[in-house]
Amino acid sequence: MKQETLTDELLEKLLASATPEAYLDNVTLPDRTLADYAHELLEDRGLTRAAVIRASGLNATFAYQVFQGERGIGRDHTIMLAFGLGCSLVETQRLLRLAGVSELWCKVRRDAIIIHCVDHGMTRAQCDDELYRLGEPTLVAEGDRAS
Amino acid sequence: MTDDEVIRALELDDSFKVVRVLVEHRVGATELVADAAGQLYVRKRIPLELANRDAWERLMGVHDAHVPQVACVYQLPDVLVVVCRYVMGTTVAQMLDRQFRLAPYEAAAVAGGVCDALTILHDRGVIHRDVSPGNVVVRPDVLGDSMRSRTCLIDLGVARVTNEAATHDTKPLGTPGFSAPEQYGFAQTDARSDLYAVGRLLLCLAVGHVCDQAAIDLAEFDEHELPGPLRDIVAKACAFEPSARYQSALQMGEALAAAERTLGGADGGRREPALPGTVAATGTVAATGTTAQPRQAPRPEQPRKAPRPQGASSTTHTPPVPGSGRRRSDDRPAGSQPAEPEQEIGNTWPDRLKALFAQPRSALRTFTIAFLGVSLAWLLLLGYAIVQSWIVPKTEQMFIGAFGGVALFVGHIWFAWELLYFATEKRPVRTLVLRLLVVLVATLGGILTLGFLGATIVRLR
Repeated sequence: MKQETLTDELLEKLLASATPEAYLDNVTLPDRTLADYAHELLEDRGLTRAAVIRASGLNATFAYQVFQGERGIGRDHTIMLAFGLGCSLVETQRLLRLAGVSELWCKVRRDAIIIHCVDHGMTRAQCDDELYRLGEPTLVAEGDRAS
Repeated sequence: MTDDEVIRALELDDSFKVVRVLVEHRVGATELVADAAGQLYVRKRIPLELANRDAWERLMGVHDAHVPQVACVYQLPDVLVVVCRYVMGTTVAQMLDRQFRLAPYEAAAVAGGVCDALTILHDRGVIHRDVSPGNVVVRPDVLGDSMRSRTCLIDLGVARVTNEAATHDTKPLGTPGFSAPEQYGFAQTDARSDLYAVGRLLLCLAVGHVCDQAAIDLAEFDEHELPGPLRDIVAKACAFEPSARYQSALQMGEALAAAERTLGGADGGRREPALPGTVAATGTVAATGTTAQPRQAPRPEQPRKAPRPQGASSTTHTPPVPGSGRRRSDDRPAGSQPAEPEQEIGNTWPDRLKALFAQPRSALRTFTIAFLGVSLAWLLLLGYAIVQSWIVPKTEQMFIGAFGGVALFVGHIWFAWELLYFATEKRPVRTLVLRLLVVLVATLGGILTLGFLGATIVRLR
C-alpha cells in the first residue's frame, strides 16, 4: 500500500505549504494513467487483455482502446474492468480514482453491494446477480451486450 | 469488428512477449517480440489508414531467404499488426555508420540480393516503396553462402499492391534520397520505383556513404569510387523517367550479377591466389606417407609468407589462368583495389589467427576459436602421451600407440588449419567438407600405416 502512504504524505506536505506553488515545486507528482495501471495489473497477475475483456463483460473494441489509453472510461465500466482484472478493493478504488470518477462508497446502497462482492472475490457476473437480487441496476445494462 | 474478432486478435497479440521496442514513429511502432518458445519475431503495428493488409497476406506463404517470413497478420481496432520472423544480421545503414565500405563486387552482390527480393515481391504484385539502407540486412556468413544469397530486404511497412485505380500516390512515404521522384506525387509508383531505390542503394554501397540529395551527379564520383559497371547500372536505375529504367527486378538482378562477375567476386568465391594457402598442410600429407588427394598444386612463385604491402598486390599476383572461365580480381581496374575491405592474408598460422580475430563476430568465428582452443589442450596432452610411450616402449601396444599418435597429432593440426583457413577465407562450404574428408581419410590412413609400422618394428626386434 505504498501508494496510499505516499498520498497521505503528499497531502501533509500540501497542507503545510503556504502557497500551491510551494507544494508543486517541492514534490513530483506521479503521472500514471489508468492504462498504465491496468497494464501493471495485467503484468502482475499474468493475465492477458483477452481474458480480462471476457471476464469484465466490456465491449472488446472499447476495452482495447482503454488499454491503449485512447479513451476515457465511465464509472460502471471501470468497475467492470476492475472485476476483469481481479482487483482487490484498494486496487478497485485506485482504478476509479485514475478514471476520474467517484470511488465506491459504503454509504451508498449499490456501492455497498459492489464493495461486498469485490471484497469476497466474486466475478462480475456474480456481482450482477447480487445487484439484481437486491433490486439495484446491474453493471451490464440491459441490451448493452448486444451492441 | 465484432467482439470475438477483437478478442481473438488480442489473444494472439498477448501471446508474444515484447523483448525490446525497436522504433516508435508516426507510421506505427515496431517491436522485437518472442513467442512462448523463445523464437524471435518483429512485430509491426501499422495504422489502418496506412496498412495494406492485402500486400502482407500475399507474402504469408513465401519462404525465401531474401524476404522475412510473415508469421501472422491480424487486425486490432486501430492498427494492422504484422508479425515477421526476425532476420539476424547487419543492416546496410549500420555498415555505413561504421564506415565499413564494401568492395565493388560486394556492393553489386548486396544490390543483387535486393533485386532477388524485389523479384519475389513484384511477382506477387507487391511494391516495397521503402528500399533504403536501414531496410537491407546482410546476414552473417555461417555456411559460406554468397553475399547475394545472404541479403534480405526487410520492413514492408509501407508496401502496397499494384494496379490500384489511382494516378498518383496520395502520401509521400519512403526515405529521402532513396524514394523515386514519382513517390513524391508525380505519378503512380510501380515496380520501377523500387528499382530506382536499388540504384541509389547501390551508389551509397559503392561510395560508402549516403548521398541523399534529390538529384545525383554521377560525374562527381571517379572510377576509383564507382567502377564503370556499377556506374552504368546506377545511371540506368536512377533515370528520372521510369520507362528509361530497368523494367523488372529480374533484369536488374541479372545486370548486377554480370557486374559482380566482372568485378571479380562470383558465387562467394574469393580471390584465387589465396587457394594454395594449404602449402603447409600439403607438406604434412607427404610426411605421413599417405597419398595426397588431387588438389591444386602449390604455386612455386607464391611465397609462403605473404603479408605483402597493400596496393602492390595487384601487380605481384600470378597472371590470370587462361581459359579458367572465372574472371579474377586481377582483371578489375587498378583503381578499384583500395576499396577492398580485406587484404591478402598470409598463409602462416600467426597471420591466419590474426585475421580470424580481426573478423566481425560470427558463429563460424566463435566455433573456430573454440575448436582451436580445445585443440591446443588436446595436442599438448597427446604430445605428452606420445613422448611418454616412446621413451619407455615396453610393449607392442605402446609402439603402435606412439606411431599412431604421431599420425593423429599431425592429422589434427592439419584439420585445425583447414578450419582456420576456411574461417578466414570464406570459401563455399562444400570445399570445406571435401577438404575435411580428405584430412580425415589421410589421418586414419596415417594411423593405420604408422601403427602397422610400429607393430612390425616390435616384431622384428
